Amino acid sequence: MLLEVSNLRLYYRTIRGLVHAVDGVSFDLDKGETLGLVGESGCGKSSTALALMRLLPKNVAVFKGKIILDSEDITSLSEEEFRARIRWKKISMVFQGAMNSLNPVLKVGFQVAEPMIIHLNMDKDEALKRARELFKMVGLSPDFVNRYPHELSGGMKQRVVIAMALALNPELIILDEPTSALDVSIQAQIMNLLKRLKKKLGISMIFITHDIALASDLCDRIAVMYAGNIVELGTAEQVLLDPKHPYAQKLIASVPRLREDRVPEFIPGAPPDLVNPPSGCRFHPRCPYATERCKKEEPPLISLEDGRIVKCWLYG
Amino acid sequence: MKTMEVLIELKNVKTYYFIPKGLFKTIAVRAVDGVSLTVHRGETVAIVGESGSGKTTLGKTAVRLLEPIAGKIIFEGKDITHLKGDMLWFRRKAQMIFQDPFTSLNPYMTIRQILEEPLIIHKIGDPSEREEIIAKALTEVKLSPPEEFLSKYPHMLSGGQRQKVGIARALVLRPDFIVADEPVSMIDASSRAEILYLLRNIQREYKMGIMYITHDIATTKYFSDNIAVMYLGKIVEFGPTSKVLKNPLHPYTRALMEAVPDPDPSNRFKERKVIPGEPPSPINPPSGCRFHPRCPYATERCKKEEPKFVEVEPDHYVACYLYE
Ligand SMILES: Nc1ncnc2c1ncn2[C@@H]1O[C@H](COP(=O)(O)OP(=O)(O)O)[C@@H](O)[C@H]1O
Ligand code: SF4
Ligand SMILES: [Mg+2]
Repeated sequence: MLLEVSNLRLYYRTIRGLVHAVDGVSFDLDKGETLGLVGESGCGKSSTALALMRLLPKNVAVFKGKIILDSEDITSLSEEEFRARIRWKKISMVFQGAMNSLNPVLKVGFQVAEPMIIHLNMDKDEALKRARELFKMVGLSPDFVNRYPHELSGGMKQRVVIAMALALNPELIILDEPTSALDVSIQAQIMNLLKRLKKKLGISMIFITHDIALASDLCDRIAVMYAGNIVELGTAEQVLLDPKHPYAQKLIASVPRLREDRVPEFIPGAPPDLVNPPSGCRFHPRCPYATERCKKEEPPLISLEDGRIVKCWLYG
Repeated sequence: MKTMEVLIELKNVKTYYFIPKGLFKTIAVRAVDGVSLTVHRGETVAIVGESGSGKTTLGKTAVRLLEPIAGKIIFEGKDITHLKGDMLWFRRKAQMIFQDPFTSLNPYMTIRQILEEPLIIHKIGDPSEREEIIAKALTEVKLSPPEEFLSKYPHMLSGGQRQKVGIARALVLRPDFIVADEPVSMIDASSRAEILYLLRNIQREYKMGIMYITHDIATTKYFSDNIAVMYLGKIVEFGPTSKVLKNPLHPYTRALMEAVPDPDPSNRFKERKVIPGEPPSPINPPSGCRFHPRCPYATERCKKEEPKFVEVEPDHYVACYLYE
């Protein structure tokens, strides 16, 4: 087991009150495995990722839970230790929209080399040489190290950002909506690249997306998130072919399928306000199966016989 | 299909943007470069392609937010290609729904004001009649009860709700023709079908013609009657949706379809067949078939001559030498 997250909570302080962005999230991840974190925008996917990287916004009010990486409890590390040993070196991340935040006045090769100079004490030439190798690994011509961001297309910039995340040989890379700004044909190219990296480097990945069909392209297991909770967690086969949680069922039914005739459905209503989440099961106001109990009592995480976890009273 | 009433017809339409370069030169961006297309009453034509293919420019030209530099646009039998000041009647009949519900609604106006504005511009009804029209439009887009939304501001609504307001704004004028430009691409996947069903039901009720612009070929399967696939300013394939998706002819259409995953867990074990590279600039489009630099089947001829649009099976057209 590479990573074990238990009961992770992250609340933000706002003028409207506490935002319960991540509210008791637990999952684990094996070496070489890819976990998909899937759900509607605002359900807490990015916040979960930021908590793992311990890159917390200033207005964080609560940050709790246990994160074990390589058998080490990294929640108890000081900020210094975390920076020196964990962040970027063991866990790295491609941020949502990262390709648009490359520094416009620096050559992209230097931007990939920089973390190696800072964290690995490499000299500049050595780091640039490794940057060229990384460029090759992500499908860019090594000579592109001398280009500026504006001289690259969107797909190329996304490859640069992936190269940056790989620079320090992390064991885990978190990808937050890495293709959502790209056209479909470029998205498919990037997904192919990620598949290749997964196979070649044996690296573990957490792949964040609101598009559950896209998650099928990379993920071995899938965690479906709703309103700050994981509501179902299982293998890709279990979750995609036979979802159990009513929200997961609806989410999969909402995908317009190109190769099958299955008329897409939708989920009426909107996800709840996380300042004041619904009582009981947070999905109950939109759930066709909700009972009185669902309105009052929060369902526990229930392990089914096939090994998956579902947070729903239908199985309790 | 053939017996339906033609609503709008574009004939070899070209719309270029001219950008100044230096003091004396301008360069032309050939965004739409010779497009012919018909939308019938009661029909949805999907325009599918990636960014830069000219979809939005085509849509804006069709509702004459842009003026073409060549070609003809005939709307309900009238030539509207170069309408200028005398456009108000057409504005009322042709509406556009924009991609971004976050920027296309004035943040300082209430929903009531947003929906009333077009009615005032077109001098429709007195205040109480307008109130009724607005309430009806909100109900039609499932923002009900209307009173709950009338005095809200856009930022108080979710993305999906804002897009519904965008649709209601287009509807209050009872248009005959709507261009919906990526109406769901900024909305969560789980709410997209709701917006698209809404558009489809309203269209059926009022027999409108819709141009549905999208980069997502999967939604066209359920929400369009015909598909036009665009690449670099030109339509490369056209036909009834079922035929195009069952038997995609153009290598670009096939690539677009191949790129879209269905939620199938076996996807992760195989790479997708992708076309290499990215679309070139419409400032200097490739010679011959514009797709040739990325096409796995390109021959010498494809580099030099432009393929004609040919009918391969009834109503199904393609511009590609593989089908000559
Ligand atoms: N810095 C912050 N301060 C206050 N609220 C925030 C902050 N960042 C995110 N949120 C809120 O936390 C919730 C979860 O957001 P996020 O983690 O970005 O979800 P996702 O990535 O799934 O879209 C949302 O309600 C969002 O508005
Ligand atoms: S716990 Fe109740 S409301 Fe929640 S998903 Fe299950 S059935 Fe629906
Ligand atoms: Mg996010």
